[in-house]
Amino acid sequence: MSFKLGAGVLALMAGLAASAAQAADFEFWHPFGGHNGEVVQQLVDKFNTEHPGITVNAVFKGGYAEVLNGSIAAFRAGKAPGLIVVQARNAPTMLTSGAALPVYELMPQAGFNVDWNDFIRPALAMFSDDKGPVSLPFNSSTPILWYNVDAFEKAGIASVPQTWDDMEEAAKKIKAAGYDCALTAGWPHWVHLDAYSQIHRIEVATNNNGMDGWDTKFTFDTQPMYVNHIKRLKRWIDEGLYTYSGRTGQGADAAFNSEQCAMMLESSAAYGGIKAGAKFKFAAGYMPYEKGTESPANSLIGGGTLFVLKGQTDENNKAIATFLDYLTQVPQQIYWHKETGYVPISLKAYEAAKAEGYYDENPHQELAILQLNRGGAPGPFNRGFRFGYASQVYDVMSEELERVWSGETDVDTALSDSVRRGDEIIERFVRSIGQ
Amino acid sequence: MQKRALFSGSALPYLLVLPQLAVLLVFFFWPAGQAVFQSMTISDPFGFRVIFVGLDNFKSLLSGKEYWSSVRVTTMFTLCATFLSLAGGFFMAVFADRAIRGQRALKLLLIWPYAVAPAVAGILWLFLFHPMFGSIALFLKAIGVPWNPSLNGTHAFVLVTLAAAWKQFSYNFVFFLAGLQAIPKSLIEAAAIDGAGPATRMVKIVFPLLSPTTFFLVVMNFVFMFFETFGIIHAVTQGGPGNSTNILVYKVFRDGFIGQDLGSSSAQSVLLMIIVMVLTVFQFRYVERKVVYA
Amino acid sequence: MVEHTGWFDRVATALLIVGTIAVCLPILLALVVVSMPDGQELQAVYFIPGGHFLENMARAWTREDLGRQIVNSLVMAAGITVGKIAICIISAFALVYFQFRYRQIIFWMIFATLMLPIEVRIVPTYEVASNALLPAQQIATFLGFDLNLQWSLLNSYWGLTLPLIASATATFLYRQFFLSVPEELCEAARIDGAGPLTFFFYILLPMSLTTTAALSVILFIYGWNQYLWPLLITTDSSMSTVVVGVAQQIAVDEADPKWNMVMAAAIIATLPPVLVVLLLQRWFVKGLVDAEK
Repeated sequence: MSFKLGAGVLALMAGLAASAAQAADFEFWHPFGGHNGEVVQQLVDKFNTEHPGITVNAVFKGGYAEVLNGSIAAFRAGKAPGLIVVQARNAPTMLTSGAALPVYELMPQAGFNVDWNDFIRPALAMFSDDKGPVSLPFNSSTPILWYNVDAFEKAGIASVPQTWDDMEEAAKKIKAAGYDCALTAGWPHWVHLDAYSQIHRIEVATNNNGMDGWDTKFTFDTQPMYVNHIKRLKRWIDEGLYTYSGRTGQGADAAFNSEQCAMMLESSAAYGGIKAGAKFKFAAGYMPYEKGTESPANSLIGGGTLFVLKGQTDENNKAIATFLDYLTQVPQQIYWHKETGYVPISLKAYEAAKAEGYYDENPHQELAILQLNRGGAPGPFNRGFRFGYASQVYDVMSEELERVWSGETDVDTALSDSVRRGDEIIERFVRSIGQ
Repeated sequence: MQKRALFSGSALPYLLVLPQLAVLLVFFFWPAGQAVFQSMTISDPFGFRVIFVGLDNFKSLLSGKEYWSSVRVTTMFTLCATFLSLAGGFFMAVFADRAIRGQRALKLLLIWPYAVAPAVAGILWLFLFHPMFGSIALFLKAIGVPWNPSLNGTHAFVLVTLAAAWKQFSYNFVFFLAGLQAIPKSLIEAAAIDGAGPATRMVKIVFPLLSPTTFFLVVMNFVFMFFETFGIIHAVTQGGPGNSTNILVYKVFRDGFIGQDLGSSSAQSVLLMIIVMVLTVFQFRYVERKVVYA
Repeated sequence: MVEHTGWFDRVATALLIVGTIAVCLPILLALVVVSMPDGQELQAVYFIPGGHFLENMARAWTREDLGRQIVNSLVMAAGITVGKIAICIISAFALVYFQFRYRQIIFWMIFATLMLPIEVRIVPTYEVASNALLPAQQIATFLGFDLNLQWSLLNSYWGLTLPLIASATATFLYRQFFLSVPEELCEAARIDGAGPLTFFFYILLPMSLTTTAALSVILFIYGWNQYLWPLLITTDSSMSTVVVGVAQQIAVDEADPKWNMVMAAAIIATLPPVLVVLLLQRWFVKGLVDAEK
């Protein structure tokens, strides 16, 4: 006996019934609102018209948390969407889950030959297992230094700061020029732990930052460079050179756009918001590094990546592969890159944009790509991070650092506390995956 | 409490409770049972591997200081926000009761916050108090108060408490105003003739007459602050900085839904259910006995 | 009148106005944000309107498909209100006016659910919502029957309403009210030969109107303001509610929200509940306070 109620009864579900008649349709859940959401929708619309047999249903679900956790709930109930965007730091959850259909399997099966060597290196490394790329990088970005050109002129800063020492000097000049806030950072954890340790090839956790095994222990509290960096930030906060503006990018963006802060370490993808909001001349530079670093390494990728969820029909999987292939093509990549400020994920698209002369007018757009690809072949400590229950781990670390900034505790205690709490979380995670 | 005049019917009472029981069984007891089961497991988010761990989740919760700090924050938050909201509602009702003109228009404005969804209310308050773009925050900074709720736990606590109190303020205001207007003017006048000043009249007459309303409001406010402020916390602080605004309900959500640790989150749900059931029994067994039904 | 000529009333009026401004400050600021041109929303801090109010309101209305979302919110809020009142009033009636076996157990079963919000059991509730017959199915499987029962509530009005009806707040208030109804009334009805249903429909129901009106306000606003649940179970954007629409625009991680559009939608989203409160205001307080006393 089998009967269905509810869904068909409602007239409003007519849309669903209509799409059932088509050859293939799947849902694509994403976290892009505002302008970026419109760009995604345009890409999807174009695809749907070009591929009459396939319907991609793009659904804006809110933030990354809503997309991922909505997908998990849906998956457990057997109603998972075909394609989702997952925040880079949560990729490990997907890699171990067994719920993702690896793109290295999907694409060849569907008859698409992907040249993975053409992709931006740090992105692929983060999202691969030992057999190949599990996920397809999509909206990739990396933190860079945004600065207010007018403020630099007013403060008499002639060249863009390269090292952290240069940063201090610049910050002091900006303060002297009457700015309340010299420097701030969006997603401070991504900037000060992730990017900082990658650029200087510092070990953050054992097993090569988790890349070679889930059972990791954090070690950053014993890394002198990192500890000193945090101590320096604390001193800067006390001296008024650095301003903390929350765990996400919103506060920093607002402070920069309203000319409160003259410098901001923030995602390269903040470009769209700055362009719309800033009434002054702005420019960008590389993430600073410590004086004496011979060749600063690549910074960490951020943003989101595409995972295909298991449980779709073969036709749908083929349709998803077709859509992924479409997204990686140069025209779509260039459009995405120019409209949103995310880096193109393939080097071909980058070369094409360069050949067009796009970067002559938008040099800061090129910066992120160069920063992600610099420093030669990555060593053990700058291939990325892989931590289970990453959201919890990052929450704990942010919490402990906030305690330092507010003077509730000192740097050493906070760092060793966050290592202890982080280790406990990883232990739980390792238990949960049955290792 | 049971009435004396009772109907007897064989099937009817069962039929009458059936719809509610059916809905509760499917959408409350079934999921709650699942939560009890999950509270004794550790599982990966997608539910492929489920490892039974007994009471481990409870043990690690109750032995860690984070959970207890969340209990403390919840208690403080509930008390402060309830007090603020009740006091605000009461005084505004007193003013509104005394005011001569414009009552209706002002009343309309004062009811507005009640209609704002908690998820949206948080955002409205963020616009006033965000350290980088909040109006009041910038004003505070200008007069030398280093306001920064993204860093300072006390500031963050004050902010969510204000927002929650604001959200519930209208409700309290409406009830107090109705209560005040129901007090016979003759009573007040008689007291005035006897020489009682405004303050004395307030304490001796108004307070006692309002006490049933106040009791009802205290209960409603507690429930609201404890359970319904999730949206505000989510929009304003996400429980931070540190753990300073991580109330119990939000912690369940954050650990389970955002942190993907279903086992620990379910254990917290179970603890919450126990707290609620104890409170409910207390309410029926103890409080209800004191209330006389006319 | 007591001291009605003096300074006291003028002070009260002044304080009332100041207080009202303070209470309305967040909403006032939201209105200013709506009036700002694109990209300049954060300049609203000084409360100086940007002059694009009507234009932005109109844009927000068409841009976010607000009409559709408001209809969904209305259906959801009204569905929860009507559904909850209907099932709660009859179960409260049974609990107060009938003596039957298991009454005590049922009583506690219902009131155990009094306060727990859906957020704390959201994942298992979602599983049930994806197939509301899952409990029956699992019990059947356990008993050895081979059944395939399916009733998915995802993306449907059933899913938006039913799980939120599962709580006992309204039963509680009706019970309180019924307990305050004089017992003689019921006895008299019985002597006149009225059966329980006659008593319920002709005497109790009309008497409960104030309580019902008050509950309608509370439940309507409760349903209207839901965020996490509708967000989870609707994937078809034509089923989204207006609060979800607004909150989603705020939750974006990868770009700053278009605040003027978001605030416009947020303001519009508060109007229907305000209207409901205004319309039912008189009964709102009376119904609840009387039931409690």
